[in-house]
Amino acid sequence: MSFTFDRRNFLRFAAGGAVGVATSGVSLKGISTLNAAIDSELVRVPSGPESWATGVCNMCPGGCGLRVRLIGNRAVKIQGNPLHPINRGGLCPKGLAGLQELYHPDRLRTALRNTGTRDNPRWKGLSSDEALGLVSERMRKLRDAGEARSLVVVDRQRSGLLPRLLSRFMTAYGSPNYVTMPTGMDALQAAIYAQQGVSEQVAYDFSNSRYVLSFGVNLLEGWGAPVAMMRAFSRWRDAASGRRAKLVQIEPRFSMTAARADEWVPIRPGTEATLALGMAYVLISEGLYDADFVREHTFGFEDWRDAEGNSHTGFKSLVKSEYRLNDAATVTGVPADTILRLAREAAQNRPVLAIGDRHNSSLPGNVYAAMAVHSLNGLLGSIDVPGGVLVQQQLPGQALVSNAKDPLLPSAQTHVANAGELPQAIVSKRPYPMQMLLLNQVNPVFALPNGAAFRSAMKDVPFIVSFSAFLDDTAVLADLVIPAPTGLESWQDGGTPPTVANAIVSISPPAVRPRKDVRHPGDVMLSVARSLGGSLAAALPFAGYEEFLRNEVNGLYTAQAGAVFGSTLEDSWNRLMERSGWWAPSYSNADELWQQIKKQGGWWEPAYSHGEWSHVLRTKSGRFEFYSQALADLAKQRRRTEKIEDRECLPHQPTIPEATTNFPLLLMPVEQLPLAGGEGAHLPYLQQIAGVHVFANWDSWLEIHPETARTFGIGDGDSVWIESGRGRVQARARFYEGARPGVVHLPLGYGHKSGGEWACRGVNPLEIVEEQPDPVTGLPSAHWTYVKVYRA
Amino acid sequence: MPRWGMVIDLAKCTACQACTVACQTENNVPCVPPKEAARGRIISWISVLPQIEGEYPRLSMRPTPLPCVHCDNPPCIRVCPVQATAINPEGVVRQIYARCIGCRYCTNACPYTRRMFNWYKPEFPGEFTEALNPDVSVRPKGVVEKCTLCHHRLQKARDEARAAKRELAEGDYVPACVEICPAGAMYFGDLEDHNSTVAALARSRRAFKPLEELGTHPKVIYLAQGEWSGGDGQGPRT
Repeated sequence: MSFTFDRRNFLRFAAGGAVGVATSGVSLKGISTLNAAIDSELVRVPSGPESWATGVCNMCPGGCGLRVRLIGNRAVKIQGNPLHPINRGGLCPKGLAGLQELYHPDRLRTALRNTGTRDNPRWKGLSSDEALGLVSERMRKLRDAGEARSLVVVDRQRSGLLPRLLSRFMTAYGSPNYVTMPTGMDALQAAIYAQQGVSEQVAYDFSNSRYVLSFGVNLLEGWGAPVAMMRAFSRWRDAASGRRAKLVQIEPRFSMTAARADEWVPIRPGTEATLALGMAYVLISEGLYDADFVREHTFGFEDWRDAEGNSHTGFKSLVKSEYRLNDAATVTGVPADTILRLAREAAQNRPVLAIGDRHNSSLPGNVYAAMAVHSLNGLLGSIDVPGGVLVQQQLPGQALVSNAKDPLLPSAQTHVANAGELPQAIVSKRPYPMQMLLLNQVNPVFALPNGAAFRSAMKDVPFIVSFSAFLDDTAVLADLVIPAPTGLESWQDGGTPPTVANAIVSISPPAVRPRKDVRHPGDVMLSVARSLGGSLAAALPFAGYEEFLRNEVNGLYTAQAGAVFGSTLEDSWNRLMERSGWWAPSYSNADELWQQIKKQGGWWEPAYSHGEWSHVLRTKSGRFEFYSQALADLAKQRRRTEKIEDRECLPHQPTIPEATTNFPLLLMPVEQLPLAGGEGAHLPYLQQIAGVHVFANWDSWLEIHPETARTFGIGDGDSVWIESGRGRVQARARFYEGARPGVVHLPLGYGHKSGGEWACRGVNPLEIVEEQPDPVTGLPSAHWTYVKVYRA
Repeated sequence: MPRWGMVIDLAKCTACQACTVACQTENNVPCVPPKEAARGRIISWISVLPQIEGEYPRLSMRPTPLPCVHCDNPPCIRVCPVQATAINPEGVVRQIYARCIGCRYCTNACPYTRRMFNWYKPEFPGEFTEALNPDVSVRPKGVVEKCTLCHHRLQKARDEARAAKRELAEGDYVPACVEICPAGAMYFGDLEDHNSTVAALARSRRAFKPLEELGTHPKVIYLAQGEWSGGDGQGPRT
C-alpha cells in the first residue's frame, strides 16, 4: 500500500470498517507505519539505579526538608522529608519546582565579568576560580586602604547558618554593613519589639490556637513558613482534634486566604487598626479581657504618672475615647454588630491569635497598626501561652557574633537597617561612601518598592559582585557575577523559619553533581578569608562550607539539648522526656550527631517552655507595654527632646491618604503562593498555576470589580494602562468579583527585566507604587498608591 | 480485589496546587509554551478549580482539586472507537497511548473535563529532560492522556511487597498528588476494604461524589467543607 497513513486517514478507515481493524492485514501495516511515524517524535527516558537523598528547600525562607529521588545522577523528583518538623512529608508547589530551577535553560554556565559599562554591559566568561581571585584582590585592597567599612553585604535569608558565616566574615573584615532584604513581617517584628522588647523572629503557636484573627495577612499565600501554616490550617479543621478552630480574615479583597477562612470580613482598606481597637473597646467595656494578665503582666493599660509626675494616657482611655464601637464601624465599614460579635467570639474561644496589620511577604505594614492588633493578644492573654504568641528559640551555642539586631534602633549596629535604606546611604555618601557591594542571591532592583532608586544608586558603587544562578535584574548591573548553586547541587542549610518557635537546623549534602561552574557563597567567603589571611583567616578557619557546617554541628552537640529529626512519635517522646528534665540523645558524640543529621535532615529543639516572663517580656517595665517606652525613648533620642506625645507611643490608626480626581482607584499589589516573595516567575510550573482564580497564566493581570470596570469603560480581557504619579504599566484587565469596588490589584512577582524569556513576562507593580517609608522604622512600605486605569 | 479510590477533604484544602505540580513532575507532563497556554492547552491531570460564586461582598469560593475521578461507569470508554481506554478490574481507568488515534471523542464525553490532548510534540527545553521519570512514558503528539492514579507506583509497590513476602498494606501505594499534599487533605486507598481510611471517610456525613447524578459512579469522593459551629465541641457541621 502506498497511501500516506496520517491519523485522519486512519480515523476514516477505522470508522468505515471498524470490524476490519482486527482482521485486515492493511490495518496491521497501518499500525506499524503509525509507530514508525511516531518513533522520531518519541522522547525516551534513560533508566538507572534509584536512590534517595535528603535536601533542604531554598525556594523560600519556609525551611522545609526534602527527599530527592535520583535515577543515576539525575534528580527526577522532589518530595517532602517525612521526618522534618516543618513539613512532615508535604511540600508546596514552589518547593517542587526546584527541579526546574536545577535544570533551567537560562542558568548561568560560568562566572561573568562586565568588560563594558554598567549601562552597556559586555559580558566575558571566566572560571569561578578567576572570579574568586578578583573578589579577593578587591577586598584586600579595600581593607589595606583602611576602607573595610565601606563593604556592604546584602543577604537573602536571615536564619540559618550562612548568615552566621557572612556576618562573622563582616565583623572580622571590619565592616558593620551586613544587611538583609526587608520582609513583609518587619513592621510586625517592630511592633512586638515595641511592646515586648523581643527582637527574635516572630513566632506563633498556630496549630494550638482556637481563634485566629488575621488583619489582612496572606496566611495561605506564602506568608511565614508556608507549609507549616498549611499544616496548622489543616489541624484547625481536623475532626480528630475535637473542635474546629475559626479563622477570620479581615481584608478588602477576597483573597485565597479570605476564601478559605471561616469568615471573611471585607473592610475599608487601611482601617485594620481601627477595627482592632474597636474590638478592644468591646472587650474592655464588656469586661471580656483577661483581667489577670492585664493586671499582672502589662504596662500602660490605665492612665499613669511617670517619675516626674507627668500624667499619661493609658490604653483604656485611648480606646474608650477614640475607638467607640459606632465610630469604628463608620471608619472601617464593618457593621457594629459584626465587630461586637467578633470580639465576643474571640473572648469565648481562647487561645486567640491576632496577626497584622495588612502585609504580604514582601511589603511591610505599619508599626502602629501592628501594635493595635498585637494589643488584642495582650488583652486576651495570648502572650506565651499554648496557642498564642511565642518567642522564637535561638540556636544554642557558639556564634562569634550576634545576629540579633534591635529592629527599632538599627543604626546602633549598622548604618543601614535593611537593603531598602541602602540607596539613600549610598547616594548621600554619609557617613562615608560605599566602595563595594556584595549581593548574596538577592534581587533588590526587582523586589524592593524603591528598586529604581537602588538601580541608580548602584552607579555610585565602584565594584559590585552578585552571587546568582541567573543573570537577574540586579546581577545584570553588577561587575562580576558568580554562579550560585541551586538547592540540590551544594551543601544546603536552613534555620528556624519566621513564625515557628522551636529552634531548627536543617543540613543536607549535595544531592547531585553541580551542573555548572558554580560556587557556594559560603565557599567563596571562606576562600577569600583564607587568601586575605591574618585575623580574617583566624576567624573563619574552615577549608570549605562543609567544614563550617560540621563545626556548627559540634556547637549543637556541646549545647547538650534537642534531638535529631525523628518520627512524630519519637519527637513526642523526646518532648516528654525534656519536660521532665531528661535529655536522652540518639548520639553519643559529635560525629554521630553529624552522621545522623546528614541522614535524617537536621536537628531541632522539640520542647518549648511557656511563661518564662523575664524572657518573653523584655521591656523596660518587664511587662507587655500597651504604652511602648521603647518608642518613647526612640522619639526622644531622634528629636533630642524630652517632650513627646503619648500618641507616639500608643497604638493608633495611621492616617490614610485620600484618592484624587486624577487618580481615583487604589492599587493594592497582591501576592499568590506560586510567586510568593516575588520569586519564581522563571519557572514554567509556577507560571502555569499562578493566576488560577482569574483563569490567567504566564502573564500579569489587573483584578478589577466588574462595576468599577464599567465605570471606566473597561471590558473583561481588555488591555489597559495602570497609571500612577510615578509611571504606568500595561496589563490585561480581568473581572474579579472578589476585588473591592474602587480598588484594583496587580500580582507581584512578574515583570523581570532580565533573567530569561520566561521571567520577563508581565509587569512589575513595584515600578509604579508610591513608596511611603514607615515613620518609625524607615521600612520601605508601599500600600498607598492611587492610580487611573484606561484602555490601551 | 481492591477498588482504588481517593477522598479529598475540601475543608483542609488550601488551594496551593502542590498536587498539580507533583503530578506533572511525577508523570512527565510537559509545560506548554505561553502562547499555547493562553489557548487553554495546558495539560494538568489534576487541577484546582476555583469555583467562585456570588457578588462582592457576599462571595464564596470552593477550590476543588479535580483529577480523573475514575468512574465505575466511565462515559469515555463507551465513545472510544478503537478501545484505547479501558477500566481495569481494580477500577483504574487507563489510556492505551499506542491505540489512541487522537479523535478526542473521550475528551468531549468526559463530564469532568479530565482528558487532555497532546497538540504538540512534547517539549522539554534545555536540561528539563534530565528530570524525566523513567517509570512513566512520555506521550507522543496526537494522543489523549489522563490521570493513571500513578499506576506505575502500584506496580512498584506490588513488586516490593512480593519481594518482602507480604501483602500490600495501606499506604504502600499512594499517588504523587496525595503523597505531597502539605495540608494532608487527600487520602488514597482501597474502597473495598471496610477498614481503610478512605472507606471510612467515604461513609462520613460530609462525603459526596462529583456529578453523581450522571450515573458515572466516581471513585474520587469529596468531603464538604462544613462551617465553624461556634466551638460547641461537635466538630465541623455537615
